[in-house]
Amino acid sequence: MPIDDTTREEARVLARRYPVARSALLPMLHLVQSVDGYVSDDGVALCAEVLGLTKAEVASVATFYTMYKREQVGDWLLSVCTNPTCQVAGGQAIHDGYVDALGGHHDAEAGVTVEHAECLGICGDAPVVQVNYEMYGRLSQDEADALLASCRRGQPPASNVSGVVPPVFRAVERELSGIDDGVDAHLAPAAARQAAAANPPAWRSGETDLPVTHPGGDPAGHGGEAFRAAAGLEA
Amino acid sequence: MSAPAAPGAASAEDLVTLTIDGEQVSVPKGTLIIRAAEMVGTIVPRFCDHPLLDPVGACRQCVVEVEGQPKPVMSCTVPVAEDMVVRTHLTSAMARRGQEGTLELLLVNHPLDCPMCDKGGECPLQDQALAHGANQSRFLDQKRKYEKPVAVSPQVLLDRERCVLCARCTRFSEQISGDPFIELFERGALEQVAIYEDEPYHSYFSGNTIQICPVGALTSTSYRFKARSFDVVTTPSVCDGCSAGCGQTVQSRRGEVQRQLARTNMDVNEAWNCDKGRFSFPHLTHAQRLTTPMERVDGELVPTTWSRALARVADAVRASQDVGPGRTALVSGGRLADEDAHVAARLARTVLGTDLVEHRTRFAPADEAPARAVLLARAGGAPGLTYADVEHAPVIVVAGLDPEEEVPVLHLRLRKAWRQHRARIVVVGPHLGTLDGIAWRRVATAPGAEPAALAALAYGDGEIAAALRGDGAPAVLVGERAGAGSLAAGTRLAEAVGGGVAFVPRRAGDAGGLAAGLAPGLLPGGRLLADAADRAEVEAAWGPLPAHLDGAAPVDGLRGILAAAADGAVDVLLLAGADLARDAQSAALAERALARVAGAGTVVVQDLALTETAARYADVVLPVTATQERDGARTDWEGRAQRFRRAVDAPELAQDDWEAFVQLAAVLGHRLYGSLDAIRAEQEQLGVRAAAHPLPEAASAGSTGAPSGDALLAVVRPLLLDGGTMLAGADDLRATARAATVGVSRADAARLGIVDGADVTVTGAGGATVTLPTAVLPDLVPGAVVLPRTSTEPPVTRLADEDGVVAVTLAPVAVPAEVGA
Amino acid sequence: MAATEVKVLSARYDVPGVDDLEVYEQHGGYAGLRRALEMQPAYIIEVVKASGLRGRGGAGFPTGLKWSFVAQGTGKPVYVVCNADEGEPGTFKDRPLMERDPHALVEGMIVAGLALNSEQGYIYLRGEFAHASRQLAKAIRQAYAAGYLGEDVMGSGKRYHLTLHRAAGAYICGEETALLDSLEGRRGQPRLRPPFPAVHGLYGCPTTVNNVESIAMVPLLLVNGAEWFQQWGTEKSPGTKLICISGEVRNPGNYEVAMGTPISELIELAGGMLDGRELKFFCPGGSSTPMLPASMADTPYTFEDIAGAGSLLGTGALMLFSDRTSVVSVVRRFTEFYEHESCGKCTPCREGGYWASQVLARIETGTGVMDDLDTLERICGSVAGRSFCALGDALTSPIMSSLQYFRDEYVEHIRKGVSPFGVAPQRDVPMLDPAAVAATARERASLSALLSAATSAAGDGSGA
Repeated sequence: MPIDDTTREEARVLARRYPVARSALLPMLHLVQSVDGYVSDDGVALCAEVLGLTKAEVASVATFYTMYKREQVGDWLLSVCTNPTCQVAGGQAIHDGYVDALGGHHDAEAGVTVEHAECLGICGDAPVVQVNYEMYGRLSQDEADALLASCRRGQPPASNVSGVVPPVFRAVERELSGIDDGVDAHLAPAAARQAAAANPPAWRSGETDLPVTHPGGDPAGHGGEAFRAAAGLEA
Repeated sequence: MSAPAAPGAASAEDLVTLTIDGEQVSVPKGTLIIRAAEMVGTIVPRFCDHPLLDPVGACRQCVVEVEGQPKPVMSCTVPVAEDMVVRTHLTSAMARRGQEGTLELLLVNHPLDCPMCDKGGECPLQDQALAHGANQSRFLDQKRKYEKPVAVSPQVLLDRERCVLCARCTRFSEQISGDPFIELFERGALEQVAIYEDEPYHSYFSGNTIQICPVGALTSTSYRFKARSFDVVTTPSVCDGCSAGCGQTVQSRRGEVQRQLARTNMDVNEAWNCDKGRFSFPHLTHAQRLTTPMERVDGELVPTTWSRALARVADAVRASQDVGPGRTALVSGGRLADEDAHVAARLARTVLGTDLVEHRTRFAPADEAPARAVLLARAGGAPGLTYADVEHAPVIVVAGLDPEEEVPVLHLRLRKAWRQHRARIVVVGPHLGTLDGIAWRRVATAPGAEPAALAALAYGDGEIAAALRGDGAPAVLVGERAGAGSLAAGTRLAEAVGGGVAFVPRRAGDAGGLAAGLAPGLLPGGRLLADAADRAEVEAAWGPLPAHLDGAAPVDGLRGILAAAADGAVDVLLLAGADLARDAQSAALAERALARVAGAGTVVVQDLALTETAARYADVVLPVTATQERDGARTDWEGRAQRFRRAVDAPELAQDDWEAFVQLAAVLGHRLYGSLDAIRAEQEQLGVRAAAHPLPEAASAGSTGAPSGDALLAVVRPLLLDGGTMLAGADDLRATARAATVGVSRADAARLGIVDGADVTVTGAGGATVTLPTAVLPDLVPGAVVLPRTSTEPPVTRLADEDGVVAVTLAPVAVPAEVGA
Repeated sequence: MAATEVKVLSARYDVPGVDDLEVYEQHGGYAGLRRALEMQPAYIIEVVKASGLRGRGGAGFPTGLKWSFVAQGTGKPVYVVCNADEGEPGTFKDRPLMERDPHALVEGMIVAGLALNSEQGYIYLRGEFAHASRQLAKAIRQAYAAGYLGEDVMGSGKRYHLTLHRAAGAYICGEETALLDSLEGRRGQPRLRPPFPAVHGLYGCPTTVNNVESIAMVPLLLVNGAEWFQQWGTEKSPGTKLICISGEVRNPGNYEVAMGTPISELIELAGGMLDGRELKFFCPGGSSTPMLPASMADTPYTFEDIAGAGSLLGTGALMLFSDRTSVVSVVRRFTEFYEHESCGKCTPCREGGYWASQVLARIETGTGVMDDLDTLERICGSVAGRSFCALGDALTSPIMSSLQYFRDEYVEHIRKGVSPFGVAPQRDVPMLDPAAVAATARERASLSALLSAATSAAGDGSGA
């Protein structure tokens, strides 16, 4: 299912959640990944369109964060921590074993991708592997290998930390976009009220006291969406 | 904080006194340490800092020591404080060590390719490595390697290995020009400047990023590997691309221009210029450049000599004068220098004996020139409204002007006013144009109906009128496309709200032409031909004006002149830099006039290049010098006159425009001027009229009546990068041109079944057509379309009727049905 | 002697179903909020100040004092932002709290909002915490449904909204100004200070950014009082602390103890070192805190005592390494972590991490030279104190502290030309490989392609 008007409308819902629409860029990129499995050209164009940014601005953000993928991730993303605590407990060996088993970082057929990860914030359960950001800790080499095998079969077990069976990559990206959080009826009016305040949030809070602004417009009344709404230019 | 102190001396309580390297200095509050150090003559090394960009503190090179602070302080991010004691690298070992350390780190990934890098010789990194760097690097490991170079646009190349990630270019594009098509991608050691692959850095201001790059990471396609900064001859100059008056530096080698740079002039262009000014110089040596006089013999233009050419023109003038007075016309095209225009005005009036003069190829409203003459006289020869006034105006009203396309550097100043001073920009007219992103409010009018809206703002009680009456002096900017009466209405608006007003023409020679009186009914310095006192003042300098000029009603600008010519009332048409076949607002009328004069009389073209007019109609063609090849002066839209100097030699047989005029006068028996100084002395002596005439009364409402039937009235807007002859040869520059489109309102698009992006055939007067993609503009008033002036083939001037009005019909181009296999 | 746990914040961790509102309420949930609604905002801040609670996100700045700096009455909205971007190697205390007892954070956020006259809070959650995200989203939904959040918080007439914002993988966003830029939809690069977030934070409005553990503690302070909190710990480090014990111990994990417990007792609490291993060195507060040798294991776990020992308490992440582990290897991994997580904004951190990790890789794999030790010190000297934010300092601290205590081990690596602990595995994605760069960097239009496209566009007569 490619990016279509449904995605566009969902992106707009995310944008309305914040008093300054650009804040929705990170959630929106997760949303794009939930549709395309990575940050696709269409996805970049969608974010740029909805937020009034250039594509370069969107890609500049997308390439900064490691969770935004440049290529199709399959259904199962295995992130192996190789930071010291996990390394001491065998994390690097797990990672290298996975790469050997797959003959690389991707098994397109089984829809499995393996990546090295920095500290996953669960050092007490080292070594740790995440399947679609669901934690699996205190793995022996055998358990780790079994975990990979189960993913290749498309049936990972429940996490031994959270007890949750991880959904497929696109589904978890949809969760992370927050589109289904179910509280937009509260958040959108609150954001709109803040944006319309007499002394409203600035489009760019910036690095100095200078009011830094943006071609996409400043909700404080310069150009952009607010201007268009005031001028009756939005259909 | 990066902004220079507001005009006017800071009062004592706004000053902060500190000590830098033992020297006491008082600087305005809020000044950054690095700026304060400059004031005592110490240049703290820096890469990311730029006085016109927000401080960022990224490169960490500008380390200084501040007494009482244990850690080194980055002088580019910290403002001064009372009694602060600063020690720079000149007196502090800590600062010196800090700078050496940062330099070593910067060189870790910087290639040692100085011998082949364009920046070599003018590179801050190179200079500092020499001055402060270690002889040997301890770095044994591997440097980053990238594919090189990457074209971020057809004229800007990026060598990522050389980049020190100071973010000057990306900050410029975001903060100054507002077109962030280049950004920092990736992070950490892989951070790099990049574009999105299908959205290149097409900015009118991209060249500035090359100039402010502190290393050789950004280079231009036109200068790459061409010269060394220490091998070029540098000449200060003023750009002739538009009426902005940007300071420019011309660098040449062996008599050829190698590159042009923005020359800092804080009063005008600050440190910026546009790409047209920077990159358009290839036209100087383009194949189309005229290098020799020519005359038409048996229908062909053949080389000739100046004396033969001038004799032929003089013969034609004498023959015309035998028929009757005032049967010659002189039209310049907005390129002339102030001195040229002055000589042309005198030549026309006293030697040719005609008031058929014009410096505008557009059909300006009849009241524009008299109203501008009033503003000129009111300003007393000094700049009227200035860039600084615009920057500090709390409200800026813009009518009939699209600054980014017409006067790009003014656009940057408007953005600065908007971004740094929260100026409220009010656009009056049928659409927003490129002010889209920074406009505060819009007053929608039909094309040409701006004066009524301006008048309403002066006396209204709405939100905009209230803002105009708030603190500070608003600015009113009236452009070329505002309807008849706009300048007078704008002036009255400015008077009513205690603000300033300016007319902003597009062409560089426009203000000079007006000041010289190169328009029907005008005399130099805001004087009127119809005014006896004005005439007397001018006659004191020029000698008596021909009697037949006295009391004659002035013709209606270029339209009147061309109509007269088309009716057989003109025998000799002198065109100085005016390619009327292409540029006249109505190509139809121009063609008729040119054909008539070429057939029965004489067309003389004096220009830089063999224009369409010259090739098709000229009997005599005279080669002249370009700005870079001569001395002269030009007056910008503010009314600021600036001199420029010769940077390179002209083609051997080319002469300055004023010289050509003087020589023609000489052949006709009149001695005008012997030198530029003589012209300037007379300009100074004449000055401007001591008391301004009253503003012309408002003309009857917009001459551009509503078109009939299905026709849509076109707003014909020039694009910065179009088919103009001064862009000849600058292929990389032209490759960044904005696509020509026909802008259609939403309502009309819906009514006509036209979708955004689809090709439509635009049909104008006489059935002439152009086919263009549609841009549906939400901000355009229904009933109007927006067309580019000379970006298409044929140019839109071909679609105009003889009054210059472009009323068009649109028809979607039928998509051919798929042909079966 | 093993220390005893004092379960205050973690008291509800093992209550079945406490992630549901009903159970949470049964276990004292939202009592703090009820108390807060009876108090004046300034009084809430006074209680937090009086408790002496120090920020649990690493810097240890007093929370109440931080709140008192937030500009009030500017006419701009005030924002409360929770820094839930836990990612410092060794730290794993916020995620368990959010997964197991998510309402504790939600309640704390509401109380913080009341204290600061804020109507909007954001939880900036690390993106890789899918389960915490799920739990918090559910808690927020329930809190809205029950009227704890919304236009009229528990009928008080005050409004408070809470937005869960998932990030996308960048350690630097734990730095509060980088977090704010990221929350504004930008690259997470730190901002210049001043202006400080308390005046000019999110969207240019007054903002406070606090750690999960700090915020979750506040309702308990209101219910029990400031003095209750001070029954534990020392004058300068009062209260309990969630401590993350990891590394080569028998029972690594999360332990809540009173401040001031000696580190050696914490090790015992975690079951002692693994069989046959002896403590060699430890990082007392996470990877960014200077490592200390085993001889300092008796240091009491307080901000001031650890500072006195030459390190930092940081986030309370005690990482323990044994004699079987190569210091060089651990330091190299840390350095690679900081290299990978450097935002790239400033020269020292960006280039220093790049350089140092290469030097360390050479030393570990046996191609180091003696000069490298000076080079490492020199790099650290050029980075420490000169980088834009604390990440640069963090980069240098494992290197400098390991050179201080374990220089001999580096020398041994270099002399032998091989790691005494066995050849270290190579990093999976060599940073320097141009092919890897090409693969990670988006394919860019080549010069010739761009030029030819541009030329053809110019030549067709309709454009240009």
